[in-house]
Amino acid sequence: MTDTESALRGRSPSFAAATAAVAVFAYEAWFFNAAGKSGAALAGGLAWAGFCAAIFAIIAIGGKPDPARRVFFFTAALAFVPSFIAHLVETRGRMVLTAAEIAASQVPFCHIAITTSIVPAALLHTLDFPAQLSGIRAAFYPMLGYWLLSLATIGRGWCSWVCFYGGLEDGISGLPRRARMDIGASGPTLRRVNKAILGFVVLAGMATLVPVYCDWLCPFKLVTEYYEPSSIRGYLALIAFMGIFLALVVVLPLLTKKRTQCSVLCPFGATQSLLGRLSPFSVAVDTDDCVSCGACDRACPMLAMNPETRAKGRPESSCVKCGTCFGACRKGAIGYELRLGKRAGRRVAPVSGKGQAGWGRAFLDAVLSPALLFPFTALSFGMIISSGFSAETMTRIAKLVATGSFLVGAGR
Amino acid sequence: MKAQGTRSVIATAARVLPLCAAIGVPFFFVYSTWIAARLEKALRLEVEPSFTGGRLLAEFPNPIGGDTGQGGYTYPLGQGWEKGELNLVRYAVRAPVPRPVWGFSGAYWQLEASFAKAMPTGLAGGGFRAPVLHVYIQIRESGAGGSTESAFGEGELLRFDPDHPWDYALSADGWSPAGEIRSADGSYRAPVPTMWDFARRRLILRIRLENAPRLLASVIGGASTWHYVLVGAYDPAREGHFAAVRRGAGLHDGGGAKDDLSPRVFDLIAPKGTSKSAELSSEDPASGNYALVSPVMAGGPAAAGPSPALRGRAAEAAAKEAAAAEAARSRALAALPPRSPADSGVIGELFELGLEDRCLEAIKADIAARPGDPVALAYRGAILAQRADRAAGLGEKMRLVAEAYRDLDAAVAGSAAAARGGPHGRPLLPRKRVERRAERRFRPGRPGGRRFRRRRGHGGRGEGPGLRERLPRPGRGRLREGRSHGRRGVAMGDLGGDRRTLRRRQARADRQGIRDGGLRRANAELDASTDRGTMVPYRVEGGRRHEDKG
Repeated sequence: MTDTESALRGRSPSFAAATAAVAVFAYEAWFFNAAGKSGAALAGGLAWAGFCAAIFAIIAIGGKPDPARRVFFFTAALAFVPSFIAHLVETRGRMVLTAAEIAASQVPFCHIAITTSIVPAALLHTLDFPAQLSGIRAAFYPMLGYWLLSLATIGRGWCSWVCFYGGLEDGISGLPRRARMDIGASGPTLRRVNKAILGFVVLAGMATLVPVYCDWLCPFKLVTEYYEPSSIRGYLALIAFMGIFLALVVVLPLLTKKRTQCSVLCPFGATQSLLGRLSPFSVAVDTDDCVSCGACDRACPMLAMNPETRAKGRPESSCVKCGTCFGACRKGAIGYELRLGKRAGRRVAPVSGKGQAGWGRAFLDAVLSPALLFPFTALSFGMIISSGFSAETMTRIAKLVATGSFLVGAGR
Repeated sequence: MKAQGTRSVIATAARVLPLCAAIGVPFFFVYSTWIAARLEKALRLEVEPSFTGGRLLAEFPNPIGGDTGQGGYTYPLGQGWEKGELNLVRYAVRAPVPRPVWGFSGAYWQLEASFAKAMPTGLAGGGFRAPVLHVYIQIRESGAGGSTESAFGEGELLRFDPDHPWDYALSADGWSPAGEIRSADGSYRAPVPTMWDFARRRLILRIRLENAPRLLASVIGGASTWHYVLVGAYDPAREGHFAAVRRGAGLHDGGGAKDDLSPRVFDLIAPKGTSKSAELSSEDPASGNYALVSPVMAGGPAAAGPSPALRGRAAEAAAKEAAAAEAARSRALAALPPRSPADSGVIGELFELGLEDRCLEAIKADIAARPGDPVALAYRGAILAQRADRAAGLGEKMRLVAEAYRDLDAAVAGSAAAARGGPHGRPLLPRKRVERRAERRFRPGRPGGRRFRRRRGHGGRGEGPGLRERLPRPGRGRLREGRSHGRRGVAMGDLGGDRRTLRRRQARADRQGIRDGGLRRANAELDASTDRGTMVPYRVEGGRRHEDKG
């Protein structure tokens, strides 16, 4: 018996399972962030890897995703924005998209554009977005792969663990202590609007071969890149995306504590909701323990919880599996579950393992429990996707402190 | 028991699935490049062409290391020029984009020039070190109204092919973000947005076609155009911005010129069959004539072919090649051992040498000596098939093919009888299959089919040699009672090109009311207008069809 086993045997199986998972995650974080790097890049990578590993340790051992998940998610989004903008400034000298970049297909492909691009791509073999098809991570084929993988693993969990746009909104919606505006009753209507917008952008994209959402509706152009406003049309688009950003990403989340852009406008989120059943993980409510206090309804940032869904034992398809409701439920009646496993309405055990036949079996059960595996999978996804930009931001911050310059490239 | 087994399977899957998901994510990212490459292979997408500049119409690769002008040009000594920066390695003409979908408000036409080495990023730090690109474009095939002189004074020190006078001259450089286009008569001048794509080392020029003169806008649709593409070193002090090239290189001047009239062009796109250095060395200092250059053709069937001025030379070269081939053939013929003309070995050798007439003579002699010789018949069939391939008219082609088949059929039959399943015993392409294909290809509704049938003297019904007899089937291609679109669709499908006529007559018949007389008249009219031969009129009564033999 090794020392590690002896040490583990002194603990509960669930703790041992969580510790083992944290060790694996820490290795993974090192591999994707710091391996093969040197100097300042290594320092930045290690900083980000350590941060991600710490977040996972808190989630795995504590048994509840929030608030550690929200800290990770918001930080990753905040780290993405300056790094991305700095990249644009270094390579182009400014944030705006130029005709040359469009002509050379050098516009980064964003996962939200998949929803409008996938149908023309399937029918016409044409990508209606001026992005590279392969090569860098922000090209079409890698992004398509990520999307398919997310469907098969975390489903709409992408929106609360991976999406760097959603992270901004999630963080902003978590800032106020209480909601000043209650839009809980509008949940069904907003979900329908979300699906209608998805239908509209897909059909309009097919009809015009233009990424309609990216052209007119995407609020995140304000923090990424946008087409140079040189005509009336350009100025209208600028006003549209600035207005949508302020309204749906800043003001309404602050007033309602809900992720309004994600639940109303985002076509990618709507697609994930529709195809979310492909994911083996879901959130379930134990109807036996639920006392219908409505705390989860108020806590859910996506308006996915309501009396009906509680009675069914499963939230609406718009659920992003963020786990905010787990902490809000005083009875601990909400948790992750496997679709193939227990049926809704039955007790959903978080990292348990006690009372099993043997220690080894209990350890294995704890390792394979969705309460541990879902955060592992989702955070791995988020950590790997954010690894490039976030680690780089850490490096840039170190450089800013040392040299007074945030830029590292040609635009410095 | 069975339910228990199912539950066990589900329970195992429920355990394995999340583990696969957890392990799968990091593994996926490790191999994401490989997976993306497989996805690329499977899906084969392309980016919407209006983003990238339109579909590629013509592409002219140019050799690396060809930036030596007359053959020995050297770069200017100042500003840190690097070899390859004036080396044009590819010129591409894209189809004009009439309605761009994103970011551009009007129609445009994109031309691209790729260089072996890209300029320094941001156009800064290189001083005036940049290539200058002149593209002269001929749009009118007639050449009327064009110019054969440089658009920029002495400019490049060149003359342009008199058979291809240019209509528009385009000047751009790697220095400024806007080039200029001007017409030959000087009546039109407009800026041309110029963009560097550093990743692909190409200079992109977008000619705006909105509000452009009609002649320039006429390129929409992919009409053939001729392009002179010239590259020089940038010198803002000179007209046309082409740096001078002297015998010895200077701070701003290139070196390696043969004489004072040597062109200032380091690289150009030369048409196939011509030599770049020969074109640039064609100046005549004695008479004061500049070097004469030829354009390349974009669009049209003869893209990238030589200009008419060079066609003579190309034809000469082709004639030489043909003469050499003929001489080789004669030599081979002379080397044949003396044998009887009827020897089938001789027939084969003559056939291989392409001496068709002599081969046919040998075949004739062979068949006279040995009637029905399958080898000789097979060779004759092959020769007839080759002649059919070269024949001009469709009717002539079909006649020769039919004769070829007659010979080949006879050869196969003779061979089968002689060898009983020997190597010639079974045709590789059964004749009936070919006939069926031919019939399908030339049926009345197909393009070309009607003309072919008319050329055969009649509707072509059964008269085409080798074609299966086509008998009219009652009820097909006829007007019918009622307005069922499905049924009418079938009838129209049979008639092919006569859809509109049929539709009109059907409407008239419907208006008149479906009576025996009306329907018969309409059908008679229809028969007269469509080459379908005699058919049996019929009427529909009580949901049943009655053929009217009278």
